[in-house]
Amino acid sequence: MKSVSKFAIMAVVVLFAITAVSAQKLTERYIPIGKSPGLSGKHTIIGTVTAVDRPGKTLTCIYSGGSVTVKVDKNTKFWMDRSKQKLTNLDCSLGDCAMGRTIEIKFRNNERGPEAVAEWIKVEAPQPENQ
Amino acid sequence: MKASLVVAASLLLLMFFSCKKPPIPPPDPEGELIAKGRQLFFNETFGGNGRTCGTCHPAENNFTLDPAFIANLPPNDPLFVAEFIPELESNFENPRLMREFAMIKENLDGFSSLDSIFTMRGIPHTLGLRTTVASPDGPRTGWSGDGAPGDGSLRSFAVGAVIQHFTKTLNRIPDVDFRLPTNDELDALEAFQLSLGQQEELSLPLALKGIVASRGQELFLDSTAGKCNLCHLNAGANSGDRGNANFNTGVENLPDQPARLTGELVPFDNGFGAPGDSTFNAPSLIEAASTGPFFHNNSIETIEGAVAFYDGESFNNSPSGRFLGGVELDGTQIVEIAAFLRVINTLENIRQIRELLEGSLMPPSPRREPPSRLLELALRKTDDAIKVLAAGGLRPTAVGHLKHVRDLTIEALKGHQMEKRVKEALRELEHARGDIIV
Repeated sequence: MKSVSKFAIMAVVVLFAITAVSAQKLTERYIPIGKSPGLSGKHTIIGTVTAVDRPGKTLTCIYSGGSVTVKVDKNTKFWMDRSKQKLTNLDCSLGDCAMGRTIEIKFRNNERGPEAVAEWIKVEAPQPENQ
Repeated sequence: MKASLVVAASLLLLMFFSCKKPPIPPPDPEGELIAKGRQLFFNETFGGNGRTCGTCHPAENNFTLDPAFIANLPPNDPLFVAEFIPELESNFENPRLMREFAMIKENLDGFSSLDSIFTMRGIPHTLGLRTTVASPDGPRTGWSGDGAPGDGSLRSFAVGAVIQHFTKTLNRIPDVDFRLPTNDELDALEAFQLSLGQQEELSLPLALKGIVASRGQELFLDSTAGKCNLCHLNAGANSGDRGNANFNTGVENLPDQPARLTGELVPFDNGFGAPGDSTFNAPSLIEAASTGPFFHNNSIETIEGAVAFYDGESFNNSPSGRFLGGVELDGTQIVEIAAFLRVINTLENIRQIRELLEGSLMPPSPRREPPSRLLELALRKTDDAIKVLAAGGLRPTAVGHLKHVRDLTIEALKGHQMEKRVKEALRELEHARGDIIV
């Protein structure tokens, strides 16, 4: 191969390589809680909402590993999982994450800790009262 | 006496047939997984609208679609579900853009407004994925590198594809409009897809015989001229240690894109992520010459036109183009680089044809389809190779040999001394290759 300086190659890739580690394909909206391929059971948390701070943009849930509080921002996707009711899933918001609801949280860049931000949150739709 | 003769004859017969019994092949779990993946890829509809993965990625057309192939499909082909399933006639596909430009609809920026938020893209082939998905930043699938839900891997890609393309209605409800692939099915589909096409990168430069393609290779590798190797190392999809990277090359800024000339709504495609960052994923160039139209939006029909894009304003004003200091190529140089791409595509086609022909002579294996199917595919690829060289006015002697390969394969398919014809075809194939590369 004709010699191309390693610097040239690295300069190209540093300048053009995407900085975001992952970009979630938005068909994720239609995947039920617990069924995300390669994520559910490995890189997500499935738990129950215990607190929502809308002004502070945080959500707390308990799960098998304890309790976690996660931040949300304008890029966090929220989806209402209505698949158990055989209804289409919908976009929703932090306000739909009511206390006691089952949710699944995917952390941005799979990073946890006090500064962790949710990449997406799926919240299970409430069951109708007559069921 | 008679009884002992009968017993002796029986023993002789038993020994004869025991000797003739073919050896039991060793277990081949990977081959079985690939076979299962093949069956799923071409036959499984996942309870949806009738499409399979093979609907958009047919083996007969290099696992992609183009308008010419689409034009020969019957009207009830599942590709055209938007034309005959009422629940899908709005906001699922654009039949005109599908038929004229082989474009499909993707809701990459979400499903909140199906009539206005979508992209129209060509269908990427699924060849050579073993060398084109991995990157240190995570797997890159699809035109913008973010094609898969879940962990973004090739394995997870099928889940997103079923949701986007297989659904019976726009509600997209699991277990109503489709079913999600199981873990075992995802494993098998991944194994099958990884088995397709080249399994390792080329190592350039190649000792090419033609002076036009040779000069094209020089320009390709020259970081002051074509500069192609910087983002397509060894004419592949990778950029050095960065693996399969994304770039903003300004393709979306091309004027007079064919799909937009129709007046149909084709929203701006902002590439990777939501919101997008306008970058798109670098594909391998080895398959390029036989898998046009080119770029994510099928905006350029010919390989010469695709190379010429890098000499144009859209690229040279883009972030990638500005950083590289621009690319300046004259007409002959554009054709020379295209000739190089045509020739390496032909070499890859020859490699695949050889595999198919040799496979047709081997004992049955889960890794391989039946001999007749292998010969049919070999015929298609031979036609491809002839077209790719002839359209560039390249290597007429090689084209002649490939035509012999085609004729011999047709004879083999008819069952006329199949083994002999296939072996002759393999010899002709080597002659074709020998005319292209030292």
